[in-house]
Formats: sequence, structure tokens, C-alpha cells
Amino acid sequence: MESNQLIIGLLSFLFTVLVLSYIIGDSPAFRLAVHAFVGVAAGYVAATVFRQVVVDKLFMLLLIGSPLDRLLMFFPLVMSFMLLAKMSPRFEWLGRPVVAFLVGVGTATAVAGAVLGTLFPQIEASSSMFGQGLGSLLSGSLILFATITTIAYFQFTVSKSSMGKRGKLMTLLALIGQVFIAITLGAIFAGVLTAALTAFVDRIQSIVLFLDSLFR
Amino acid sequence: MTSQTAGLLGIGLVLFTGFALTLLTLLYKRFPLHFRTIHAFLRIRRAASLVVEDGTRLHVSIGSANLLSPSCASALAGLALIRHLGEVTSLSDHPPITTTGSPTLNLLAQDTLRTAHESVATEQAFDMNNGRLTGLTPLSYIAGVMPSIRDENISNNILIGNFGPEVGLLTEAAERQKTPVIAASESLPAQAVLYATNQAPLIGEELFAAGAYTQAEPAHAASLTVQDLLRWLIILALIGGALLNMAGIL
Amino acid sequence: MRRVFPILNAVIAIGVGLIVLTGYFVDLQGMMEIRLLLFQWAVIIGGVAVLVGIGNLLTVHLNKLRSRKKGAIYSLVLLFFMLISLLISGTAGLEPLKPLLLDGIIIPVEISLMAVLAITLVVSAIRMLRTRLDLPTILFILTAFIVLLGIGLRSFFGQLPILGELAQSEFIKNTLALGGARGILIGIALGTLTTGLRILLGVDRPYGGK
Repeated sequence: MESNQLIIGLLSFLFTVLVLSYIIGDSPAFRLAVHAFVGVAAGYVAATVFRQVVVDKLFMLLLIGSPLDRLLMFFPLVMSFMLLAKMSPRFEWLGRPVVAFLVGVGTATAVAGAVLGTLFPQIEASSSMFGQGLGSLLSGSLILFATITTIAYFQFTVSKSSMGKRGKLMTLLALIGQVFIAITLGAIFAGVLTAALTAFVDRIQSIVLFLDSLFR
Repeated sequence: MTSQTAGLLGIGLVLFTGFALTLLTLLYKRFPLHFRTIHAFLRIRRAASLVVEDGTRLHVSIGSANLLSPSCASALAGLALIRHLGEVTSLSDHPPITTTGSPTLNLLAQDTLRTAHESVATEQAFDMNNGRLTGLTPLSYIAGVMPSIRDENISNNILIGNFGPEVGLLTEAAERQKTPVIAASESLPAQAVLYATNQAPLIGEELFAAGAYTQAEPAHAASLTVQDLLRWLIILALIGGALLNMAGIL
Repeated sequence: MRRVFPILNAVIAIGVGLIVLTGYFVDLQGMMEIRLLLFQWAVIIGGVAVLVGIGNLLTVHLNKLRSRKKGAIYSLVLLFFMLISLLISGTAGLEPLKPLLLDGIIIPVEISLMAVLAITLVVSAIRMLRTRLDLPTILFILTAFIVLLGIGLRSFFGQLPILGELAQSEFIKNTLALGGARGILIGIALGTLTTGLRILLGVDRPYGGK
């Protein structure tokens, strides 16, 4: 084993054992490991983002881009300095217009994503499941029924006199919707649990392999 | 559906929603709206009033969505809640702390806390560090939140935003501290985890109702009713589309 | 000025938002280019926001250290590892040390946290059956069990009547759960739409202001 590989293996083993100790209880060993992890991840991401976004997409264009590129990059440069003012309690107000700019872009992206990326494709897919044959008709109808009752479950508005309770028809629809929601989340839960169990097996395997490589 | 048709329909939907939202907001005083009871929101209101009395703190976490991604909307809904909780609890010695896993969301959380603080005009100085970025990756963010749940005299944890299934680690950390959690996420795996780990989980779009159920602002209430209106239009579209598909027209 | 700034911020958020939104819906070359340019600027500013975020992380933990709050020693650990990581990741020539961070710490801890999650989920499912025994809970657990049977739990339990067949047919995943998931996703899209429009109409202003 090369020395670099040995150190990586040792670190990996150490951190794995420290984190897994949380299963027994929240110990100083676990806290130490997660704090180190948060620090390492923060430093790594910050350096990567700085190089790949700030340097490559801003500074490089300002330095070697065409005159138009330089002009266009002047705006984010100014906004970047304004945003950095957010670190000072005295000058943080300078960064607010920049945050407003980000909110505008982000909100528009979210709205467009919801409409074009979820609503329309999901409606289209639900309506086009009734191909040839009885089997397809039945399964398509069941999926549609599940979709409709699930959507109906979430109905918020009720009448004034109901004291926060649903009407009879809505109670029935919501009950059916709740059944489909429970089934859906149960199926997804199984997938999540499988992925997490795979991670658990992976870690146990890595501990065994490391110990094995040490004593071989 | 071609992209041009989708674009036109999209504009139509956005304009209709905007119009309905404005109209219902303006009409709210004449025609107040009423909503079904959601127990998680009752617990949030109770929790907010308790912290003023017992000197503990509320912890609100709004996830790790990138503000420039479509999943940021759940965090924006969480911010509406932070604003309300900030106003209600600013008079206590311990204003709420917020945690996020996204730098841009952290800026918004800090601004929201500040606005809430300024709106109640207390003599206490605003501490920007009540809005905390706890990590820069989804899992390091979760790992960074766990100490806050343990060490900050937290009486209630409210997790509303974009989380992955790892949110289960937060509910477990809170369970070990015996502090209640109210949680919601727009991601399906996180919802499945929360359904199992939480006593009163908020499911699906219920997370977007946070503002309306806690603030009783006309625009928030109106937006829920607009959601209901769109819900039935979509159900009609689904049934209509299915019938046309069966008839071989679509 | 105190009054002007909040209005200016709202104008920026609403104006930029509407331009970008139109760029998504209208298939015109000019609109699309403007949208992409604004998005590119936002990505760059988002990158700078990471630096502001690091500043926040640094301040919070330095304050903890200064005030000798509970767990201050862990803040010291965090800051130490953050500086080491910044140094290795940000200095030219130290690239060969990067695997120490990635393969030695970041990846093992992330997988280990998921492993801890596995235990948490199993315990929660058992706890759920004990404290919240109602129809949705039973359906939730039963569905999870059947799907797990289909994934690989069969080797533990052998071929179970009805449940085993259900697991193999994938009827639950491809029909029942599909419909439910679609309903939830459509609902979330509706919530996103109205939440987003409240901001684009200037009702909610998370960037500060009333």
C-alpha cells in the first residue's frame, strides 16, 4: 500500500468509526468527526466555487474577454463587491439590491420550472396513459384516480360554518387521497431505506477491508 | 405539446394566477377565507407563544436549495414563516435562530430576521449571526445543524424547505434532545422519511400554507384559495384529457 | 433614503423576475439571450455569496470560541479543518493532497451519515407502529415492506403468498404510487407557482422591506 493510500485508508477508517458511533449515542467522538467534516467540506466547496465560478466565469472574462464580454461582466463585478458588503453589519444594506436581483432570477426560475417542468408534463403524462387494451385502460384509470384524489386531499379552503373541517364529499375524497399518499410515501421510503442500508453495508465492508489490509 | 404551445399556456396560467391572487387579496376583507385545520401549524403558533414565556429558542431551518434552482420555492415559503416567528418572538431575550445549507438562502434568512426585528422596534441590537450557514453541501449542512439542536436551548425545531432524505438525521437529533420537530419538504424522499420520523408531518403542498396559517395576511390566504381554484381546474383538465385520449383524439 | 431603498429593491426583484420569466415562456431569440445573461450574472453572484457564507461560518464559530460557549472546542476543530481544506484546495501545487480531503474525509463521512440514517429509519418505522397506529401508517409500513420484498428482502423471508406476488408485479410502484406521486408533485408545483407570484407581485419581500 502506498503511503498516500495508507493515510487515506486510515482517515476513512477513523472517520467512519467516529460517525458510526452515533448509533450508540451522541459522543464527543461523533461531534469531533462532524465538525471536522463540516470544516473540510466548506473549505473544499468554497475553493472549488471560487476557482470555477468567480475566477473562470468572471475574472478570466474581464481579463481576456472581448470588449463586449468585459462590458457585460462589469455589472456582476460591481454587484459582487456590493454583496461582499453583506459581511459588515454597517454596510450590509449595500448588498440588499443584489439579493433582490438573485430573488428575482430565482423566483422566476422556480415559477417557470413548476409550470413547464412539472405541471404540464405531469398533466400530459396522466392524460396519455389510455392506450390499446383493457389492461392499459384499467391501469391508466387507476393512476388517474390516484392522482385526482391525492390532489383533492390537499384542498385547504372550507366553508365558514365547518369550523376547519372538510365537507362530507371532500372528507371521502381526502380519505382515499390519504390512502394513496401513504402508499406512495411507503414505496419511496423503501427506496430510501435500501439506499441507506447499502451505505451501511459499504461502511462495514470498508472497515473490514481496511483491517484486513493492515494485518495481511 | 410543442414548446411554443407550452409557453403560451404557461403565460396564460401565470397571468390568470396573478389576476386571481390580486383579486382575492383585494376582496379578502369583504369575503374572508377559511381553511381546514392543520395540526402542525397550531403547534407552531403554540411554540412561538411559549418561547416568549419560558426563555427558550425556536430553531427554523430552511434547507439547502440553491436560490437559482426550481426547488428554492419551499425555502421561500419557509422565509415567510421566519418573518412571522421573528416578529412574534423578537420581544423575548432569545430571538429565533435560522440555519441553512445555501449561502444565498442564508442572506435571505438574515434579511428576513432583520426586517422582523426592525418591525417590532426593540432596543435589543440585531445579531446577524442568528442566521447561520451551517455547511455548504447537503450532508455537511445537516451535520452542522445537529449541534444547534443540541446546544442552543432550543424548544422547537421547524424544518421547512428543501431537504433530502438525510433530514431524518435532524429529526433523530431532535428526538434525542426530546425537542419537538415540525417538518416539511417538497422533495418526495424527504417527505417519505418525515412521514415515518415525525408525529405530525406536513405533506406535499401543505408546506406552502405556512404563511397563511400563521400570519393571516390577505395575500397569503388568497394564494391558498387560488391554489384550490387551480387544483380543480387541473382535475378537470386531467379528466378531459383522459376522455379525449380514450376517444383517440389526443 | 431609508424609504427609497426598499422600493428600489422591490423594483429590481420584480423587474428582473418578470424579464427572466418571460424569457422562459416566450421563444424569442432576444428574450432568451437576456434571460441567459441575467442567469449567468446570478450564477457568478451566487459564487461570491459562497464567500460571504464562509465569512458567516467563520464569524459564528469565532464568536463561539470567544464566548467559550458549550462546544467551543468543536468550533476550533471546524475552523482548523476549514483552513487546512481551503489551503489544500485553493493552492496551486497541492492538488495531490486533495484525495486526502475527498476520499479520506468527505466521502467516508457522507456515506457513514447515510449508514446512520439507515438505523434511524428502521427505528423510526418501529416507533411509528407503536405511537401512531392508524390506517395510513399501516398502509405506509405494509407498502414499504412489500417494495422491500421486491428489492431483496425476499431472501430473508422466502416466497410469501400474495405479498410476494405483489412485490414481483411492481403494481404498487408503477400504478398506485405513481398516481399518488403525481398528485403530490402537481400540488407542489401549484404551491411553487403561487409562492413565486407573491414575490413577483411584491407582496412577499424576503430581501428586506415590509
